[in-house]
Parts: sequence; C-alpha cells; structure tokens
Amino acid sequence: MIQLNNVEKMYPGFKLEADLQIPAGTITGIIGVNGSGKSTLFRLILGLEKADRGDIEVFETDVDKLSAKQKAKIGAVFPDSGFNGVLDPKAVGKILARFYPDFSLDEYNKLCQRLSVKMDQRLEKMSTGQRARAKLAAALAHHPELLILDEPTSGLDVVARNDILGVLQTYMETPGRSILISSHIASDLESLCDDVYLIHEGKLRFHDEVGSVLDEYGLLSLSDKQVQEVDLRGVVGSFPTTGGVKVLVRDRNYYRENYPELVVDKPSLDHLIELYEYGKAEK
Amino acid sequence: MKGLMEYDWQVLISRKNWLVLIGGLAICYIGMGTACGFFPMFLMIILAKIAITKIEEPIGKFLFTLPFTCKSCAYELYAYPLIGGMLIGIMIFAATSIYAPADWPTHLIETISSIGTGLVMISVMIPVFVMFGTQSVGIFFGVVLAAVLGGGIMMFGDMDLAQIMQFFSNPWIGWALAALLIVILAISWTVTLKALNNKTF
Amino acid sequence: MNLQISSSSMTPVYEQITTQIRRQIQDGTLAEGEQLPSVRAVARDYHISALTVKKAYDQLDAEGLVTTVHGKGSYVNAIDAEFSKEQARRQIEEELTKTIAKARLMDISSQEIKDMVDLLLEDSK
Repeated sequence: MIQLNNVEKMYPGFKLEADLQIPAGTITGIIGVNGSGKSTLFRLILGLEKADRGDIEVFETDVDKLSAKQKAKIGAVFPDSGFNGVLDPKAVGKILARFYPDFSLDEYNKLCQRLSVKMDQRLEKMSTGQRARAKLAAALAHHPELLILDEPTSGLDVVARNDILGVLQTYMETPGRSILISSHIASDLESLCDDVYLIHEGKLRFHDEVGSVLDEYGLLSLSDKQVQEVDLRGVVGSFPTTGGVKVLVRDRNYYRENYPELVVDKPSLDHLIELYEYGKAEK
Repeated sequence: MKGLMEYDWQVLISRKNWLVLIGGLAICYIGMGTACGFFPMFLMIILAKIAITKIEEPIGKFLFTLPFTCKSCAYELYAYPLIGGMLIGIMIFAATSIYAPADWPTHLIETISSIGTGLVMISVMIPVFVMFGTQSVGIFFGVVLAAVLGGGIMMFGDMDLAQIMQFFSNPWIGWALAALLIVILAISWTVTLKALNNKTF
Repeated sequence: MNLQISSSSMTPVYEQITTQIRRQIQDGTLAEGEQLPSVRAVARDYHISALTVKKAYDQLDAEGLVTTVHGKGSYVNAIDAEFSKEQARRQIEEELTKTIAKARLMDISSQEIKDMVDLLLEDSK
C-alpha cells in the first residue's frame, strides 16, 4: 500500500532517510523519540511535504499524483492539527459528508457514540482525550483503506487509549485495510501492531514483527563482569543501566537454557527506544 | 469544492456573536444609507479571510489530507467571498430600497461597485495571504488599502458625487474597469494556484 | 472461546494460545466443526498482534487440529484420541532427544542420565 524508495528529506541540521514497504492488511507501528523523524515521515507519505530525493508511492501511485478519489481512501489523525476549533463534531459530520462520497452520517454518529464524543461541544473546548476520539471518528467514518495516525494516543489516559485501540482493531476486521501508527510511548503499540519500525535521528534502524520481539527476544541484565564471560549471540544492542548493562537479544531461550543463572526478561518495545537513545546497536 | 464551501460556511455560522454583530452593523449602515457601498465589500473581505484561515497552520495540515484538488481549492477561495458578497449585496440592496425607495438606482450602482471593489480587494488579498500567511500581512494589507483609498481620494476627492457618476457613466470607463478587473483576477488566480500547488506543511 | 493470556509470562503468547486451544479441543470445550473466532477478533479481545494469533492458528492447522479455509476461517477438526496421544508422544521424544544431546555435550554419561530420570520420576509422583 505504501512504498518509499531511497527517500531523503533534508532540513537544517536534520536528515531523513527512508526505505519502507507497508503491505495491505497490516498494522505497522513507528516508534521513536520526539524529533526522530516520525512526523516528517508521515508528512511525506501524505504528500504534505516533498522529498528531496526518492519515490513515495501510495496505492501504487506517486503521492504527488494521487487523484481526489484515491485521497478519499485515506484517513489521517494528527496530534497538532485537525478541523477548525470553533467547529463541533456535528458540524464536522456535515463537512465530511460533502467531502467523501462513502461517508455515512449514521455510522459517524454511531462511531462518535462508541467513542463517547460529545456532538455539541466545540473542538477547542474539548480535553486532549476527547479531541483525539473526535478526530478518530472523523477519520474512520468514510471507510478509508489506509489510516495514517500520528501519535493518536499521546496524552491520553488508559481508558481513552483502550477505546481507541479497540476501535482500530474492529476497523481492521474488514480485509484490505492498513494502519500506519506512530507513538513515542512504544508500549501503546504492543497490543495493536503486527510490525514495528524504530526511527532514530532520521533513519529507520530496526524492523521486526511485534510478536517476535515480545515472544522471542530477551532482555538480559548483566554485570560488567558477566558481559565479558557470556558468549553473546544474536545481540540487537545494549544500553547501560544501574549495576551494569542491559542487552537485547533475539533468542531468549538460548540464554535461558544455556545460562540459567542469568537474569533474562521479556522485553518491551520501550526498551528498543532506550537502546537506540542511550546505548549502542550492533550493525 | 462543496466540502471546502461547507467548511467555511460551518465556521461562519459557528460564532453566533459575530453574526449578531454583523447583522447589527448592517442595520446601522442601512439606516445611515451607506450600506450598499460599504457592506458587500466589507463582507467579502471577511469571507475571504475565513476561507484562507482554513489552509493555514495549524489546521491546514489536516485539511490537505482531505480529497480535493489544488484547483478546486483555489476556486473556492474566490467563489466563497464572491457568492457571499453577491448574496449580501442583494439583501442589502433590497433592504435599502425598501427603506429609501426613491434612491434605488444609486443603491444599485453602489452595490455593484462595492462588489467590484471587493473583488479587487480579495484578488490582492488571496494570493498575498496564501503565500505569506495572514499574520504579518495585516500591516502590509493595511498599507495597500491606504494607498488605494488615498489614490482614489486623490483622483476623485475634489469631485462631487454627480461628477463621479458622470465619470463612471462614460461607457468606455465601464469596459476599461471590467477589463482591468478581469486582468487582476487572472493574475491573482495564477499566483494563488501556483502557491497552493507548492504549499507544504 | 475463552483464553487466559498472560502478557508478562515468559511463555510466548502464540504458545499460550496453541496450548489452550489444544486443551479445549481435547476436552471437548471446542466442538468438532466449530469455527474459531477470526484472527483480528482474537487480537482485539486479548490486545495482541494479529500475526501472533495467525501463527498460533497456523501451528494448530499444521498439527491437524484445525483446518483453515482461506477467506472463511478456521474450523475444529474431529479429535482422534490416538492421534493426540501420538502428537504428545512425539513432542516428548523430541525434547528428550535435545536434552540427551546437551547432556552429551557436557560429558554426562548415559548412566548418570538414567539415574537423573529415575530420581525425577520418583519426585514427581
């Protein structure tokens, strides 16, 4: 559904490089700290920015050349942009109805109800959580094939996050859809995404299935002495911690079987971020 | 383009206080008899400002993910204030003519020239604001406005209304002005469309 | 279908799913011919990646416990008591082979292995 080939985008003091394929029927997460390039990547994919080099294709068409009909198959949510704040969800519904042929007012209202969105409250008067839900309802109501969600769960409490993640999973039950979602709280994505990419200082540094990271990878806690002694294999990287070093490895069973005395934990996607921000990655 | 129009319409009617204020102003102006000359142009400027606001940061970023072409976006930026101006013009003209029926020909001319002036105003406003944003340009626009008014006063200041009417009733002047308007619109449109095509967030 | 998934357990989630579904098929909780919930539905209900659920379903299909019809869903196969016993036997044999190989690497003799097994069997009674 989305394809980036040799894409480069330069700003003063920052350079984004990306090669990326996102197939249909998947939920892909992009994790990284603020300023790592997540938002830039999304802006490029949506055609809001032009790349300095490389090709960006959505629905197998160059993003610059997407027709209005193709654009109607995309839905987007941003943390810092949306409809004019003076509008309320009711007005938004009326506007969306005129933009999208596949928009169903009935479904929009149902979605808003499901997400506990107050139809008569101005967007600017809503809390962050309420606004996030309103934005999601607006993005889903026209049945897009591709959802691009930039930090949709930022600043939300557990309840709001669960509601949003639940709605997204239900949305994915129809085949042929894809979601690209970013977060700087990686654990938000653990219960949702199939694939995860990590972006660090403008480069995509890590990519694997979420299931592999959670089911197979291991986080070793080693003292500096143990680091010398243990035959480390399948290492993704390591970062310093109190008492020594944390090492992220691809196969926790190898260590559990061969070094039963070592402290081996199930890693979280957040550990990936810690690794690339504070530590050193192999390769 | 319907989506974009609906957007601006909803923004317009969302602020009930503003509508009441404008309505009140309109009534005052009708009472004073100067509504026809002033109001359509005034409203067109307001509507153009509303139309432009939606494509600026921070809300422009999201808007441009919606399905429309840059061409229809450009059309709407002009169409919205123009249609609004014409509708208001009709209403104000009708109201003024009921209030002071004898002067209806004057009112008609005033209304039409107000719409025409409004068109010139937004032709300058729209490309400038699309390219530079509405913030810093307020001052710049104010200067342009002053220059135009100043120039107008210089040209016509020492003529009374009858003389001005005579000047304008010369048919060649009418065609010249219409032609000038078309040229201004064409230039404005081209610049706006180019700016929209190159717009990034 | 009810599952209890631990997100903090070291046991891979897909393995937790296969183990529980296998048990439910064997004790009849999941009836023959019954359709398992869709991959996405399970992913949503238990807050896990759909690929993980798919991996579990594929594993069960490979074991012959369910049949996946592309585009429709996964259906429980008739259980063959002898078949599952055979499966279990084969799994234990595999694990014992691995353990014996490891013991050999560490220079533990066959007699020592046998003694160890006897002791553990005694303890587990």
